[in-house]
Amino acid sequence: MSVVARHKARFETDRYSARTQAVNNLQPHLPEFNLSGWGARAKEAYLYQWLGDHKCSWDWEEIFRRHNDPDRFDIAIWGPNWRLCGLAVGLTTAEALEIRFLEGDPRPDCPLKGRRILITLESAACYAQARGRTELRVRPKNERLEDLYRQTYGFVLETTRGGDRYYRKGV
Amino acid sequence: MVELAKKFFGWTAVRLVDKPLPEPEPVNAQARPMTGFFAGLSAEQKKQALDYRGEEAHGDKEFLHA
Repeated sequence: MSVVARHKARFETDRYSARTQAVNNLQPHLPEFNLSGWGARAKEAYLYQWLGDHKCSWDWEEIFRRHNDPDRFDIAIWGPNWRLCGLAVGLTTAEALEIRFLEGDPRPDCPLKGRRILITLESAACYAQARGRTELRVRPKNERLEDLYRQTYGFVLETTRGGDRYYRKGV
Repeated sequence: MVELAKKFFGWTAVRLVDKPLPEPEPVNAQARPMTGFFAGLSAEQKKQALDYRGEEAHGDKEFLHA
């Protein structure tokens, strides 16, 4: 096995372990859910369950096509009966895992509404720890989400030298 | 002219010396136990997190559907 193939296999093992651990950690507190990566089943569910409503915000096929780093962390959140309840993707930097995109099921009756951030943070933290990263980063798009990350989840605002703002928390 | 060049390159050198170094790439970062995120929250934070029902989506506007 080549070095590249060995690393890719390691990333996949870490992703699988992180998702499994996150489900185990949160299952006692949340309704039934499961996690997977962005694969054929997730793509099909996205096309037929989400795009049918035309309320979905992001073009997830393009997001996953453009963010194709071998160590990316892709998450598909599933409810009962293979209902696609959320999609997210995180990218690793030297020290952190940044959650770049997150979106919940646009249908109003999603059983995991309001919990998809927590599920994403839990699984992302597990993956960051498995990959040796020490913090999570997010860039919330409005004040309400900023309040949520700051007050509920304990993130801290940072500003880069270029004036770019993001929130971080050690894991 | 020489004096002017000295001043210019001297100023450049000072600016470059002050430039902070980038974060080192942890090529051999050590894996740690997957303790997760939720376990590290306080009881009040856990309650708020589980009670939240608001907006969740965020990401780069470049990828929004037209």
